[in-house]
Amino acid sequence: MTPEHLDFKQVKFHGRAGEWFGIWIVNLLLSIITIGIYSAWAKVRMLRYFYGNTEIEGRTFDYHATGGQILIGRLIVIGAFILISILSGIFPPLILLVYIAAIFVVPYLLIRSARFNARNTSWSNVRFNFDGDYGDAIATFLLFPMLVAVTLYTTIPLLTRKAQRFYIENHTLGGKKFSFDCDLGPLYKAFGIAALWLVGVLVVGGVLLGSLVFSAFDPYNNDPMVQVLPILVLYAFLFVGFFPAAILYRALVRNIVYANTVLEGGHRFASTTRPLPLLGIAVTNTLAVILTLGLALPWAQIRLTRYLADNTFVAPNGSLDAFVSEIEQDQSAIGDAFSDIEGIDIGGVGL
Amino acid sequence: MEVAGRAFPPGRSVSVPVTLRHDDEGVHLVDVDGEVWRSAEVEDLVIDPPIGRLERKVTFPDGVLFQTPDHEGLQATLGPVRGAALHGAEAFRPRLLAVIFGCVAGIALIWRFALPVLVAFAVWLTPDTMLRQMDAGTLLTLDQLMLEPSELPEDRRAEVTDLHAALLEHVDPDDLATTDLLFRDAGPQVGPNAFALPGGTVVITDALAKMLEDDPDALAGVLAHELAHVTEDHGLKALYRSIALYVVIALLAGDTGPILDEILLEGNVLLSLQGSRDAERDADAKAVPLMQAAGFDPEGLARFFDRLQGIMGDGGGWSSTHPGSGERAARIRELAR
Repeated sequence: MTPEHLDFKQVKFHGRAGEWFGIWIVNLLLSIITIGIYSAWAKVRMLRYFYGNTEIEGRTFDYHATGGQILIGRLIVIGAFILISILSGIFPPLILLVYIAAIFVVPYLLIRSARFNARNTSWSNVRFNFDGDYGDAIATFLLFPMLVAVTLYTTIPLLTRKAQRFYIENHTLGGKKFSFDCDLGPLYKAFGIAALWLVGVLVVGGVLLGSLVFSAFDPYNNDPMVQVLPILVLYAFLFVGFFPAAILYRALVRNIVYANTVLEGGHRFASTTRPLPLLGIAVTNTLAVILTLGLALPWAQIRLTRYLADNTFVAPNGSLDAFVSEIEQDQSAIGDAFSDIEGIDIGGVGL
Repeated sequence: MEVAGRAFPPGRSVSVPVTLRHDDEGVHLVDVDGEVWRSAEVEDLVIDPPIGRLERKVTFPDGVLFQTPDHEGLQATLGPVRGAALHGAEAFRPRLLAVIFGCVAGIALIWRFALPVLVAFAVWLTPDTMLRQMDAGTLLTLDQLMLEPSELPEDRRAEVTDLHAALLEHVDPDDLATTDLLFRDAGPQVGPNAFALPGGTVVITDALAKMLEDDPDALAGVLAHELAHVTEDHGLKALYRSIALYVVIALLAGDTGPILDEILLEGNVLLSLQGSRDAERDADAKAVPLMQAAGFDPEGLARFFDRLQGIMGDGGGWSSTHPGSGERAARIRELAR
């Protein structure tokens, strides 16, 4: 499905690197001066900037959580970590109980986190909502990953579909449900392309490495490079093979997911991200940030967001005026803070 | 004074063009027909702080949202608002250079003072059970990847274990979560070597045990060096430093995007190399008094490095995790004096 055949509108992103740099660097300075406390407010400011600059049909997104909510959430999570550590110091077997409990608590926190983020996000003055079933979360984040491990990662597309279904189908915008379903075929095709990249890197790397090791194989070789060679090979494989393969897969999956997502009322979506340009942006962004010691990060963030917005389309089915919020706001913060600290991102249609 | 924009009824996606008017009787939303839609006192309004060029938002007490792209018009109508100073400071002007400088200085201070405190606190919090599990997990991985069961004779193992036990008597038991001493065959690539895991597990290779068969002081020296790594929490500190770095960057700088994210999480090899060279020097220095307390001659450890230099070369290049052997031997002799 190409965007041209339906009345697809491109998502517009109006963020500018210079403007965002100013906000980012002041955020950073205030966060440093306040030993991190301000970072909760900085996060709000960042999300408001990015959401507010993202526009569909003349209507923008907004983020409504307050810095205070996020700070309290972070303090609760840090406090819980400290408490658990101290208690397990006093009563060692407790740590095993905590591990087992974590397996069952994490899916719950993921639901809470998604709900907090959804309820604090609005588009055109209408709030999103998220309502996930706990049993479904257990299946998505516990049983399916176990299946993937047991089948030696050959069932990753099944997990992808399950996770996207869980994330998308439990989201609503002003009471209107999102729905998602897709065949496994395209997902397996994407998986195959990513796997091909991985195999290609392994073969090319193996040939290069083979000749290298052949010339250097000497148990008492006194070149210190030989001692760190296994570590270097592992990192080379991760950064040339595994991470790019993951980006390729994500780019292809994004297109499939958007094409198969419908918002109640017949509103459709499309994504046209292409794996290699996305990989190119990721690589050049990384180089730019490293070479500027981090100062290019705001530019890199704007560039990636703009690329994603430019390749995202929405086809409204009739008027977009009929959405009405269901809920006013969510005061809870713990779920959000948890996802913050753990760096958990279950991905999805978060525009 | 007035400013043009549009208004959304509470929680609805539909909007109508309106004018926000401020007069003696308060603030009013007036529609295109001149009809007054909403009225409120200015102090009852929620006026969002300005961010970049984003449309400004004003929320009325009943939830009606007024939105306008006209920053100057809104300020002229409602007066100066909360957050205007911050917005001004963020403007892309040369004075941001001062902010950059402040950030660099702040990061240097965090690196120098806050990070070690954070890491020490995390080390203090880590329960022994967790350390023992970390050791067991790491050992399992190493056994699968590069280590083979030891082929060392039983009596030789007992001799090494006695050396280890003699040293342990002079180590505070609270500093070690476990006192396991393990023997493994690591093949010719690794050669004579020993390493310690964060919980206190010490592993020595067959090649090392054989090489130092005739020199108990040297072997005790290597064991003392490894125990010093554990009592000084070198491994654990390196682990927490890289985790703390990741969390601090994630919290301060925000989303770093693909690849960079992975580099931050997995790729701080070069950074940890510098750290581990300092850790090696520290462990050498702490090994000397431990050996002396347990009745061994620190000269043994220096002798070990001399012999290592004989077979392996100096090995102290920039990429190495360890300082040069010659330098280490000389430093130990100096400390033992």
